[in-house]
Amino acid sequence: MSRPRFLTLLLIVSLLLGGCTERREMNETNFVLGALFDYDAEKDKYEMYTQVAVSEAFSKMQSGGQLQETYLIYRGEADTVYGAVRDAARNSARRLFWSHCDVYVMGKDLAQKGILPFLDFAHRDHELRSTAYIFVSDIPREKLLSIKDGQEKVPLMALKRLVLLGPKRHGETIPKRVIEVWKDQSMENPVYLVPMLSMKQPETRAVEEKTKFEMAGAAVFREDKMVGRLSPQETRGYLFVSGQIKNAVFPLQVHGKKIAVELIGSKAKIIPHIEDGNVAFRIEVKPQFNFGENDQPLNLENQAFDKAAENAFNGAVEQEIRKSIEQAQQLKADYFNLAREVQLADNKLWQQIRNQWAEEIFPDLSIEVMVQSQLLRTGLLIETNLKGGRAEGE
Amino acid sequence: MVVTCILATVDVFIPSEVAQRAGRDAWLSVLIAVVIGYSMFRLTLMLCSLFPNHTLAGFNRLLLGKYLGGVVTMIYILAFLVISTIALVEFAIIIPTAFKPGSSIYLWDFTLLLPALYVASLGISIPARMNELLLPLGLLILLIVVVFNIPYINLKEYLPVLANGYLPPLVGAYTMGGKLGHSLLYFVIFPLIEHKDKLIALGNKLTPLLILALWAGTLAIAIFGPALTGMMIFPALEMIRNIDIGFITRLDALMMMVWYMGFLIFIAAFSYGAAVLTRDLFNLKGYRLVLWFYGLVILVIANFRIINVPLIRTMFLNPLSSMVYILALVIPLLLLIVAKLRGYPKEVGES
Repeated sequence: MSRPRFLTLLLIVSLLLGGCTERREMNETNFVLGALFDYDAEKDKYEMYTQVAVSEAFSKMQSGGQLQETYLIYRGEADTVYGAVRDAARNSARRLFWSHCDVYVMGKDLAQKGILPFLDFAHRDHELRSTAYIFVSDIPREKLLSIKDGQEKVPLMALKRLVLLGPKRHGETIPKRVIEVWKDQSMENPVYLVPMLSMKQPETRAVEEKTKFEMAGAAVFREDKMVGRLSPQETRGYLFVSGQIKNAVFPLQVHGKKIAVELIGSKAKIIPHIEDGNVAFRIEVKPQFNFGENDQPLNLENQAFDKAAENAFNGAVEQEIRKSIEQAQQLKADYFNLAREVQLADNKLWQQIRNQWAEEIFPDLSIEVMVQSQLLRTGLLIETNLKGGRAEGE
Repeated sequence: MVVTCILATVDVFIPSEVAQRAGRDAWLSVLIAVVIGYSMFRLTLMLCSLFPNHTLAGFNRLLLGKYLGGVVTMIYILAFLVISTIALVEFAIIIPTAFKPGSSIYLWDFTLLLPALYVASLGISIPARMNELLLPLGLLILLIVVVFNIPYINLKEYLPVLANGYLPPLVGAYTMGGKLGHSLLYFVIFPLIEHKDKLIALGNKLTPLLILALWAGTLAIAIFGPALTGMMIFPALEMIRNIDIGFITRLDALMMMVWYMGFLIFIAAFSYGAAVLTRDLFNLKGYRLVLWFYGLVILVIANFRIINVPLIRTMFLNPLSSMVYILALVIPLLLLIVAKLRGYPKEVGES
């Protein structure tokens, strides 16, 4: 064999040989697609529940055409998070494989005790992906694991879609990846939000309706512990300030008419004002919106009504932002990361005040909010009239 | 090939270490380190140009005499072996740490060392030609990593500049600069280079590329922040694991490939260097037998004691950098002074 051929063969074999070690066969693997971690204070133990895909259910129907069980639940319990993960292996005849797990739910008890053990394990172990999404749940464990709303074959997988859709549909939740929480947690001002998961019980009138997951609100963390929570509106207020909101619907009252407008984008600017060592902030938010609905005859060519709608929208957004700021100051939790803005504006001053920031300065900080919205489009109608003639403009 | 040797090793542990030391100013450390690296490159070339037909072993003998010159050459041979061994240990721990925790270190030792030695045994032109293919491929993958991470990059993480004074970026540059001293390979390959006069121009062209490639390594700070980057062992791998855009995700194997290719060229080049210097020192007929013997030595030392990750990381950082500064800066400077004092360059035939 010529040298170049031998060399090429050697290189190819070198690369392929690596795959011979620790190979995994599909039919010997349990794919974990979602997991719940919690802490049992009575036992002083960590608990872990996984939802594992039944691979056969993803590829074919059972004989008779009826779909078999699509997922299995495994449970582990131990003094450590890693121990709990391994404890589950006692019951799993196939190796639990974590690389495809995109959803990690933290039980409220664990969130309040501290999620550092989970974060450390999730980042240290090469098999787990830090790009997975993280949530805090206030749903009782048994209930959470029993929710089967039919949206996904493995129910917890729905959470990723729900949280990613949130900022694009209602703006009341904030997607957070494990790596982002790890990053937030390692910052100088480790205060951050994690999306809150709750459930929506069925209405008794609609008997076919099932209990569903609901993604709204956020848990407030300081370092690795949950110290409070935000309502859906307060969460949306945060999203406005951080510039992450994409879309939401707002009901408004304008000149006695009930209208619904659709937010279609928003920009925000946080401007620190530092004078004689005193810090204040001005938050400028510039949302844009469309008309979505109105309940009475109306001509949108009327500029005065449009202006009034913009003002009403400004007021609604400002109120949500103010609520969120009030909650942050009450919790002494600067999840807007205004501390970093001070550091960027005046590092010397920041070095002087960094130790007083969370407890003394931030709770009493003067924060001015200014919202300047802009009506862009009216949808496919310019005028609504029930009587056939032109509607009276306001 | 020198650039490949630099990039192969510099993006492994260094971004994390520089983030720990320089924090948000890591990008400044890159600039300072490149100045240091470029100085070593020019100094090496200045010395080598005085003896275009000799390797280090040859001109050491001319400048320092048979015995002292021999001792200095021995130091370089040992250093080349140490550098090769550390690279092998580094690779053999990267793979089990980041990809295959249950696999044997010996497997990775053989997977890397055997092809590297075989390639080196065919002459330096073989790894050099392989490098013509592998370097662009490696740079392309680096570019892919950067492009797919754009949604997560926040350049404000680099601010404020010099928040903690001038010292942190200098300390970071010291660590990184040592990894840019692989121009000491020229002490071995210079006589074999066809267009020696073009080396400086080529170095000038490659320097901006090197800066960009090193900045790409410190981009982890703009993605994860300085604190988290400092906590990670392999920030470059984390960057590739961070990519999650639709179906474009789980690209870890690309980084494994880049590291494999880079370390292969690296070990081939340095083990070749050690073998050729030995041949020239002892006036042997060939270097191949020495090369395979050194391969065995590298393998035995690398496995003499299974070195743990914190230890190899510590060895790889400042101790190795300090060694490279001595080999690529201090000794060459002294040799250059001696050469000038002895009136080099002399007319052809005079030496």
